[in-house]
Amino acid sequence: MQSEGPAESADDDEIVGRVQQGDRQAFAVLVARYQRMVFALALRMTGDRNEAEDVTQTSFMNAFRRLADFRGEASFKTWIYGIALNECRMVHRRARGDLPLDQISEPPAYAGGGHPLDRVVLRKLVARLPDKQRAALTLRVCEDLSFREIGALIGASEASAKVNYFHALKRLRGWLAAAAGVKQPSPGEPGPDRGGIDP
Amino acid sequence: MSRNPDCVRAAALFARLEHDTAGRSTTVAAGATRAEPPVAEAEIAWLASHLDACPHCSGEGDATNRQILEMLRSGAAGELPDDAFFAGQRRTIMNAIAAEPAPGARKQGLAASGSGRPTIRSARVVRPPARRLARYALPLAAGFALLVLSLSLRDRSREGATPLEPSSPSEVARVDARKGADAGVGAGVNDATATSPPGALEGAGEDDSWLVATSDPLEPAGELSLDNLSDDDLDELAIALDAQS
Repeated sequence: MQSEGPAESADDDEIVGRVQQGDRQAFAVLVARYQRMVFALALRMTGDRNEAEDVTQTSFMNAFRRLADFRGEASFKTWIYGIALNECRMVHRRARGDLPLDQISEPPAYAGGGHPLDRVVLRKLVARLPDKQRAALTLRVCEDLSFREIGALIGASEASAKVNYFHALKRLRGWLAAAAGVKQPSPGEPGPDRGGIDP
Repeated sequence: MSRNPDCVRAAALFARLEHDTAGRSTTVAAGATRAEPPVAEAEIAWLASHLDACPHCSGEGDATNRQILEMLRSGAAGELPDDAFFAGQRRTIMNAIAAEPAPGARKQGLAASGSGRPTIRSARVVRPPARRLARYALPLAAGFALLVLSLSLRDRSREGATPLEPSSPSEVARVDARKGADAGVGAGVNDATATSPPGALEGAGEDDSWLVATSDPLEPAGELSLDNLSDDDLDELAIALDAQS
């Protein structure tokens, strides 16, 4: 079935309906609309451009395959974010352990207060956060989602999403301080990748 | 650190959360007992509301926090590829989608075939019955027939059955020669057969000695090897045994 008119101005639900009825070219509008956001999310979540590229492509492919199941209970944007987050988690699990934290000691630019703060270092540190904390931080800061939306995406309550977000920030501060020699991590200080809060 | 009791409680909850997340992969896995219970949903809710209200615990005024957030917000925008990259990726995605079945088609197809999801079984190659018979049943039947024939030959030889006669003069000469050789080679070797002609099969008569084990090391003593017999020989053997029984 061919589209009956230009889809660029149509809203997401209308385009999804067209694709569900067989107009697969209409899906290109959804790709164009959310491709950059998915790529940016994947880049922040994985910390690697090639992986972000793979995650973006796979996410849209999976979205197309599962579009028959899309009921519009959440927005397409939230739905595609959820798919992308799943892909990021899978990529992250495969890559886990590739970069020990102690290797992130490249010469950073020193910010005020004596803390090393470099874009590359920060990206790597964020990539080392547990899944839920990384997702909460990224979706909140970069995508400006509400904690309720974040909770729905990561399978947690709104309160848990909020605590994960603040916990992520607390960890980043701790790691940066430790890397700068300001404070040594306590015995209870977390290593990377030990999961998020899941009450 | 703040002396506010709520902030102390919040710090303690964060510490327990650290313990929980670390414990999942270390302490609990090692079977150690947990000193404190895991953080409950009600405590998470309390912590969330405290973080909303407390600038100290939320790190709202922390300079590092601000820099982290600012760098995260501005970071990806500067690292995103250009429009040409995204146009190329869009083409790649749409080309891949062109090869996909329409959304829902896969589900409908599976539903029509009575299966909710694709399985390995659906891809299995099914062979026609005749080919399966030719591939498995006939060799099995032939093997079984050979086994029965071999067992019946052994039983008959143990019961002192009439030996099969050599069929040609040259074979008679060969058997005679073997008899002479066996008489020398097997003499006194096996006490169990000491009362029988040397090398003879136990329980076989004197005339049965041509069925005995040879001194050929490739042929196990006491058995007639059927490996070298052709199908015609086996048929003749079977007919002869049927006639005698």
